[in-house]
Amino acid sequence: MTVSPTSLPAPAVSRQRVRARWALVALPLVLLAAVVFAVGTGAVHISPAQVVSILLAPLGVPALAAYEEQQAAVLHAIRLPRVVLGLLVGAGLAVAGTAMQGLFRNPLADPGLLGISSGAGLAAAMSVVLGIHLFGTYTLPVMAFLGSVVSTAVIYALAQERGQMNVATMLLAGIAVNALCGAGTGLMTYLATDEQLRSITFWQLGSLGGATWPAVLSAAPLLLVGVLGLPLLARALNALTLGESNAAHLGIPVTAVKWAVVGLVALSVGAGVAVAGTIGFVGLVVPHLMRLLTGPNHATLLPASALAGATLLVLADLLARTIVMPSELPIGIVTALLGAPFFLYLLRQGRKGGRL
Amino acid sequence: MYKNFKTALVLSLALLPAASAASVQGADGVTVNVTNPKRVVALNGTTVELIYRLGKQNTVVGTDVTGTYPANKIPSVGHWAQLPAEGIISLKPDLVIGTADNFATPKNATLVQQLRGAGVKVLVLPATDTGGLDGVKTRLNLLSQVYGVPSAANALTRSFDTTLAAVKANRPKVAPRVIFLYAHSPSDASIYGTEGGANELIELAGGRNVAPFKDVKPLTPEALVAMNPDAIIMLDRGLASVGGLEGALKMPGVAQTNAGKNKRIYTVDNSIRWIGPRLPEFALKLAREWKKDFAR
Repeated sequence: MTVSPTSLPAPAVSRQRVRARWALVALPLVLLAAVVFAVGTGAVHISPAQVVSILLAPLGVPALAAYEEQQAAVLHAIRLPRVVLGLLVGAGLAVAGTAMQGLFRNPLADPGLLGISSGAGLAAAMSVVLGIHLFGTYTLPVMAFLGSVVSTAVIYALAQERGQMNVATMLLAGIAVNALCGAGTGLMTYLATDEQLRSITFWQLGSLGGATWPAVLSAAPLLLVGVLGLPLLARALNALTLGESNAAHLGIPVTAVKWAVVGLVALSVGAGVAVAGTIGFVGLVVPHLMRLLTGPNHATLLPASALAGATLLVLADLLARTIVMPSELPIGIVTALLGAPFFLYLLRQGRKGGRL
Repeated sequence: MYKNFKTALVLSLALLPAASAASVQGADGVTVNVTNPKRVVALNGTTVELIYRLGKQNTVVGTDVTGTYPANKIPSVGHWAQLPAEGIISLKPDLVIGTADNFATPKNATLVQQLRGAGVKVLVLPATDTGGLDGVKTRLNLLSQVYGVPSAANALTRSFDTTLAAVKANRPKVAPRVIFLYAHSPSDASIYGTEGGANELIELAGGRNVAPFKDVKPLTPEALVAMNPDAIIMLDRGLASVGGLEGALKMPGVAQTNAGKNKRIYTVDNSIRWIGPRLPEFALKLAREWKKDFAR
């Protein structure tokens, strides 16, 4: 559970404020370093000087180092969109996770609870197995996105009580709809041919390997709406930690805020899942890590989570595409392998310090 | 002088196909211009196998996880359903050769765009799961154009036809009723239906596939008993995974079939799901075994 700042002794609060300020300075720099490192590393060797030369070439800057045409093509057409996609999806997943934990006042909440991943999974499996080709090459991502929006809307509708959204009912509805979607996906995998089964499995493990500029540009607006929009709700989420009625007394339009959070989370995570498959653990681990670092104030927590999530996914993808070169691992495996042990460590540390 | 001229003529004729650029149209309609490629990434095991048969194995610098026959040390770029664009490009290929079924997964459809976007030539051969031996010949001919070695392809096609004639001569008089059982473990097995490589093999070898469906379905013991095959074909790997013949006979339903009662379980190489150049050999092996076992 989050701890309200007032219950902490004064020195701890000021120490946390200093740390939060430092975090917002340091995290963008760490992200920048991760991006530079990720852009310059990969199966095709491109040296830092060549990266700079290729990126500056359209501006008419003479090349610092000679490079081949193909290196430029790889950088522009394959590696850059991939890093940008990792950055956006990571930020989207992490900021959505943070907002969900704030909304539910529960550290176990993550975007998966809303049925986003399971709805997307079911729709993706259906498009693969039933051979739906409504949107050409983009059928699978579009279907996945529609699936996530539909399942979120269903859970949301089920959680309505006399015009109010009941968060506890939403949790239960989420569990039930997730189970239903899981069964539907199971049915699809049962009907699938061997080839289709492998497509579904790899999609469920997540990958940024399909990143092309059109794919990135189609998902970017939705992801950005979440990443930039959710931090605007920081004050309301802070007030909600006191409970809904207290927040309402503070003048927060509670119902509208709940709508906004769920809508923004569904948009950004749905778009992320659609282009990159289901990538676990980012939405769960990053908010915890950032809460330890910056404290529970959403005004710093949300942007910090976005930056850390972006960094984490860019680096996880770098690992995924380099450790078994020239092959690559699904990124969901990397985030879970890194995330789960780290999460367990945090849990034990938190228990000792009485924080989680 | 005349002799030298003749030698030069013969030499230049011999070098002609290798030196001139070939325009090869792939199964996706995209034409690829190739001149004697030196570095080829060959996706799908049957492509690797065909290139070996053409004597051009030294050009193969990368393959996917299925490219394991003949035994080789070619680097793998990963699972065929999830291939990495940059990993393939890092092998600096002159040409990437895949098959239509290779690129049918949504992820790999983008891969083709990415590779071509990065200036890599991609030749898409017809699918490996349909078309039987004729499909193999089509792919072989396309590859022989790529490498400029039509004579090698012709020799190979003739050897296919010779083996095929032997298969026909050795088929059992009465077609046995056959099931292709694809097992991962004693408790997890599927039956291959009347489409794809397994079915081609059964029919070529003179059997009758009695699976009452087209695609792949999980094994249900009762359905197996109802189909009551005379013969069961398994992959080498599949038979090993259930614990050999003894283990296979203990699988639910197997012991109650004619095949189980008479221990008529036959194995084929693991790569049969993709129809490749060894299809006639596999068929000949099965045909001979069936002719012996089902002589009535």
